[in-house]
Amino acid sequence: MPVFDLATTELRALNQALHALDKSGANEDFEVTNPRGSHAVAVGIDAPVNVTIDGSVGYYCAGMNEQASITVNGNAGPGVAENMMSGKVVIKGDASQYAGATAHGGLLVIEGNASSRCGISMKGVDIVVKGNIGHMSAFMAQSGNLVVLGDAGDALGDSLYEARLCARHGQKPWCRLREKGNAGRTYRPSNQASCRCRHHGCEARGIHALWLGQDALQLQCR
Amino acid sequence: MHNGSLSNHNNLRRELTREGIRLETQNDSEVAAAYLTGEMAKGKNLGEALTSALDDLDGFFTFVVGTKSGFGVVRDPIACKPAVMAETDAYVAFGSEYRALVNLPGIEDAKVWEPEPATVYFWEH
Repeated sequence: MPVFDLATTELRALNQALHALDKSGANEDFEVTNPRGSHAVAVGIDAPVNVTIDGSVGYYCAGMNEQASITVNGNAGPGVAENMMSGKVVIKGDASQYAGATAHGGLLVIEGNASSRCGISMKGVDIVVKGNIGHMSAFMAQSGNLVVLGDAGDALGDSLYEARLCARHGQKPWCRLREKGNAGRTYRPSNQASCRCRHHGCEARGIHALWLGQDALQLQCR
Repeated sequence: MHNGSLSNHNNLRRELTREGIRLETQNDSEVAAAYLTGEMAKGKNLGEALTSALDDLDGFFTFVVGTKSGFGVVRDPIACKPAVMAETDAYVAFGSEYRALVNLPGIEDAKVWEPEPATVYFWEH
């Protein structure tokens, strides 16, 4: 199994080895040690491979990922899995700003907290955050799904397109929703009590899917 | 230390000059430093001065301020500029990225977090 120690090996050697992999075949698992906040670790992979990174990474880890399955045993800096096309990225710790930004596919899992602008401009990726997400998450999110099990910061889903956001009922931020039959009109609850699931008139706390179609407001209790 | 850009620094400079504070440049960061100095001269501590800054300063900023007895950090409400902090029993550290903190002693066990927007973090002897 190839092991790259970034304390003694150039990052370029790691990324070049990952870029040389067989795009359609089986590849050996990679292990990366001592990242110590390095940037652009495991970017631009386009091959089915498992990569495990032992430590915290800097900016844009797993950027543009395609097909690979990347696990970070630590925290990630801004822009983790940015523009991911497919594959899977798992962050065991926390993620910094704009995690999963503009990603087109694949699955990004953050087991800790994500910071602001999580899923900004997402274009098809699925993002699951077990902890909290920061303000302006899913800003201009076009498609894909964002599930947050913790708390969401202010302005969740600001300028939303057709992405689906799943958040616990009664979030602190306001939700910007477009009501059916009132295209262009936005409903902006001023406090968390107003953000209600209207589909069943359900006010219980639980996971609710907020689905903003082009002219319809649909809320589903799960 | 200021990462960002203030949009009302010209107006603030006029007001501070009227209050008798001397400013030597057209730079916005100098205005922020003079503003905080002015607030503290009115009796506020650094933490209170940074709280006032959130109301009186317009723009985007991450401030890291040190005085003889205190250390404070504040980010504007939009918080675009990166910031990360680390705290142990021995120290509090600030950087714009984790990589800047990675050689600090005990960093592996430090509490590492990103300061929240519009929130003053303040330590004083």
